[in-house]
Amino acid sequence: MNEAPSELLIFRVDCRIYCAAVSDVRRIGPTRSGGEATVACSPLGQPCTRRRGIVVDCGDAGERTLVVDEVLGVRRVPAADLRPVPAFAAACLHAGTVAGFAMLGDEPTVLVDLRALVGGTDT
Amino acid sequence: MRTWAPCPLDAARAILRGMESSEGVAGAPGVVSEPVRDGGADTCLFGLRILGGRYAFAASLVTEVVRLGPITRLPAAPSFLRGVFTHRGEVVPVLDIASLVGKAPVVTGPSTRTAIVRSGPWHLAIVADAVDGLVDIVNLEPPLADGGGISAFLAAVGRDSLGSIAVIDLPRLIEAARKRSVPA
Repeated sequence: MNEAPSELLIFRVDCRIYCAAVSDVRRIGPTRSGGEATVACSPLGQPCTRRRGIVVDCGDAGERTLVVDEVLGVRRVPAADLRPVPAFAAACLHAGTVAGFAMLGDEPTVLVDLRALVGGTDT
Repeated sequence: MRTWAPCPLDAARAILRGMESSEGVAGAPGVVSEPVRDGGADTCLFGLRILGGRYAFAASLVTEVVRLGPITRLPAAPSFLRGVFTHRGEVVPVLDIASLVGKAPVVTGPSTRTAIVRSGPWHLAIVADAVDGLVDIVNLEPPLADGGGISAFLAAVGRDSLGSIAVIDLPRLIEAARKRSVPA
């Protein structure tokens, strides 16, 4: 992780909880059906209810919306509760979508690089 | 199909010696943690059960045997990388050898134990159907020539009081897993 985010957006896709740096999120809103810049299916899984959309600024590619089931809120996470991707896992993951982990409870929660995720995913 | 020739017995023993890193064995005591002792033998091996058989690898690679906590799955990960779990505050990746060789993944549960290993730069957990711990193997022999699958990673075969056991070249297997993840 180049920069340890302190404010994380917590969201759910299907039954799994993820988090992402708030600084990567432009806004949160309802999903647009059939929108060209909507990412409905990603490596995070297939959302069931598709209730919310996380809008991400992808630079020249414009805005893209990651469809999720639920946005659970924002948490300020101390740097001590952030973990890098272990070396072996990093060597096996090449999509760049996993930026690290946040210890939000007993289990590590995947810290998603939203720009890498929606920028490299077909709509 | 991959052609594969058996390695001579001396070569098998050399591989075993090479598999034993200089890291040694360690592990602070913990509630569910079982530090692995160092038997000191030339071929001190650590046994586990996967793929319906008994396998072993260099015991010096094992730092601890612990109960596998809840696994967090990783998006876009290869099937053999089952995910990560936390141990002593560290995030540890979990490797499933069965998945790596194209077989059904190991079924994990609350009582599943895992061997945490350190091989070169890699620190990871090996998930297995069961963990046997240290095993004393006699009459090490080169493995029989076979096709792919787990046999491609065998360094030797031998026997102990419970029967036959196959010795995995774990560093080679881990490296193969890493290379398999590299996109073409």
